[in-house]
Amino acid sequence: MQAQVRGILQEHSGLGDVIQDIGIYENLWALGMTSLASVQVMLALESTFGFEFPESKLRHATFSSIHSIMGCVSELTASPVQ
Amino acid sequence: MVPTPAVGVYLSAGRFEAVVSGLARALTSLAGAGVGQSLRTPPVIARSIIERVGYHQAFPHLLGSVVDSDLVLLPAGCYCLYPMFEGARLTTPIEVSIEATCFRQEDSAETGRLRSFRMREFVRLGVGPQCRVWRDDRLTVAREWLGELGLETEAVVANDPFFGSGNRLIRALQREQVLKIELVATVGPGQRQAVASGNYHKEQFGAVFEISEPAGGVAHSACLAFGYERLALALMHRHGDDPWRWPDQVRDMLSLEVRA
Repeated sequence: MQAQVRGILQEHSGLGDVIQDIGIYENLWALGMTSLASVQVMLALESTFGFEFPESKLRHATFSSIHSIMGCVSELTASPVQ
Repeated sequence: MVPTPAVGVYLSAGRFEAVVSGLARALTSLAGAGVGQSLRTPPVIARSIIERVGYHQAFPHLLGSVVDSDLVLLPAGCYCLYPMFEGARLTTPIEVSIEATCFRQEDSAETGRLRSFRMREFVRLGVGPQCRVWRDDRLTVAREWLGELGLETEAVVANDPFFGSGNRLIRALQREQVLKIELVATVGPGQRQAVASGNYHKEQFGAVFEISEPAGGVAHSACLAFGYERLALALMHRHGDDPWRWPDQVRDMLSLEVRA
């Protein structure tokens, strides 16, 4: 899952290749991801993993790191983080 | 207000317009000590500016275009301001007062939801956290001022009506970060509307127009906007249709001393 999330972020977060080199806890907002870019990340995650983010997950914290995104995807797809 | 065949488009009759003029005078005195320039906008703006700020993507359902031209109808006053400071490095915070004639393609005919309307906006450009503090301070002052006019308002965390299902994240983030606070008042029987709106834009516009604050970081911005027609409707709902019979304090505040 981590490779898929990194791929989505690389393509849609506006942060580009740096995504492949950062740790899973690094803050994506602090790195410069904009809220407009986060929408594209959200849509790509939904289409890749086949779920829709519920309102309760539409939070700054959900999209703050690779780790937080993986945790949310895992919860919404009921699959373990790999 | 006098209805026209177009939904959400009204003519202003004498009494109503006298109140709007009174509000314009009173709002001038409400401006903070820091307000420098006072600007009046035309009802149109270059399409290129609206595209640069992304309004055409965030709010395509509200945007009105001028056919066969490079113009669109101005959706809010502050969009005229940021290009004035393009590339600038501010040495001090900027505060500007803007009177604007605006258009939004609203799809509701409820009281106070106009398509063509006027607003007064105070805009601040400066350092990030200070812009949020400024917004909150000005909202407090505005709420007290509205209370003195007899208008009870409720401060409500709100979001802009971003278009499309994908933008549900933007709407949620806007609310979570309390970027938009509206002052809501009763504008007609059973009808409540925002009569003022305080917005903290973070670095959104400073980044687009490469405006920097004194320390070199991207300038942030905030604005406080008042809707003239909604304020006048709220006052008439509260005090009656004849402004010259309103309480002395209210007439004094609006300089309504001469019968139109």
